[in-house]
Amino acid sequence: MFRLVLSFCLVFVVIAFSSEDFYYKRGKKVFLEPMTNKTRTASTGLLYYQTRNGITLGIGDRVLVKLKNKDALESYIQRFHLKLLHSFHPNIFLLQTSDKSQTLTIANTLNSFDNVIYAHPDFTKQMRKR
Amino acid sequence: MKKTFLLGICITFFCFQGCNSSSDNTPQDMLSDPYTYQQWYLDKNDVFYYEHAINDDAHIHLSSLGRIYSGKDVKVAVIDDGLDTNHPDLYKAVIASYDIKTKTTDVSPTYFNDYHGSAVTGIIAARENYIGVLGVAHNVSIIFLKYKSSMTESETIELFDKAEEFGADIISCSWGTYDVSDAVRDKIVDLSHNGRDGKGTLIVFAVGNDDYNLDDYNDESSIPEVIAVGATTKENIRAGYSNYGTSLDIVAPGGYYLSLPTLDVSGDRGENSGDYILYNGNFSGTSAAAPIVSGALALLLEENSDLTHDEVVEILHLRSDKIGNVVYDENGFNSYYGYGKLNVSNILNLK
Repeated sequence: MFRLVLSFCLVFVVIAFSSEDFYYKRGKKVFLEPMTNKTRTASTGLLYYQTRNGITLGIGDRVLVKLKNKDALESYIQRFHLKLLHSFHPNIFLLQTSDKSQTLTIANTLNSFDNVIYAHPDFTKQMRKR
Repeated sequence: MKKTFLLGICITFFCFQGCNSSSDNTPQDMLSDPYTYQQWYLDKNDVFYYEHAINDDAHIHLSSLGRIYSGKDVKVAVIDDGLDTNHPDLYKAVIASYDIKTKTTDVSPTYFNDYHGSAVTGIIAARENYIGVLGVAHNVSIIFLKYKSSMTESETIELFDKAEEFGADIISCSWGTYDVSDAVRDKIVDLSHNGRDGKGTLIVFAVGNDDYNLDDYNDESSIPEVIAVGATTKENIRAGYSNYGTSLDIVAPGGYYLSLPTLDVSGDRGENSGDYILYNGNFSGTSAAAPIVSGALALLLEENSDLTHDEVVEILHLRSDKIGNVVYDENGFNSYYGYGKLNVSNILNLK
């Protein structure tokens, strides 16, 4: 009986955590809450999320990645069906994904590679005048 | 009759003082631009200060040494919402421009009421030309980079790349996102270390007007390499709206109920139907304080272009006024005032 309860708890925890959206910033997870503003999404083509600080982030089909060694770039492009759009100094690359719904997952997967210093979606943000 | 005559003389004298003149401690060359007497953030005008109950030290002490320099041969990049490049008070000031949306050099404001970029640029660079107002660094060269109100990280990096490409010594940013990404952070840090031929580009950010503790956010102004600027009022204390925290470097006048006179978009567009925003207008906040510091840094680099990023920051930290009647720690730091308030005469008095 105890094992059964424990199994249910584990499944619950796995489902709960796996359904949570996040990206990595400075090596730490930043959790995101999906926003369901269909009008906004339709007009911009972006998926919108909110951070726990209340910052709205738009995600499209682009990822920014910084590599220790740019030689590995081609293998990532092949593996995730990406397209190189632009190279920024130093070793930062703007890549296009084939499906914007996969952008967050691809960025998070890239983050797990040793050769990747960081990877995150090319977020769209509000520039706040001060 | 005699009394009426004398009274008339006195009224005429004070009107003249209030409209055109300045105090004894204001050098003659500041008289040239007619609204300079309202620019309470630059220096003290006795009559204007008296009429508006402004603290004697609310300004940045641009007198004496501050007027020897004008930012000549220094390039300041302003990243903002648009600029009236044909404004008469910016004659020959703009040496390069770029619009991230259109990828052209046309940086005119998009919307009828967009005046923010013109106001910010005016505080730095308004010319000494017998019209309007005077910029902190009135001979500086401006690189204007127009952003979009909603922008991607890669576009932000592109604007910093443009600033670098155009040879900016200083980059002035009166905006923020409260959520700087790793890639934008990287660009800013890289420029701060390696820009300006290895001496480090000076990147100035306004800290924001929400009375937030920035230690709880990942703001652009929280990046240690950034020069983070908060705002003070005419009472010479921190403005209640000014964000604070351990990353705050310095404070400068940003106003509250008293606006900072500067440029408006000329004609009917912008903040009002004229060419200028005056003391009773609508331009205040850390957006106004940051370009004051950017202008002051232009004067400093004109005096000594060999200064590195770290040397400049050290000068700012050591030579700012410890205002506010608050306790500064053993390093001279207070989280609401940073290392104190900008004093141009102090930072230039080095040689």
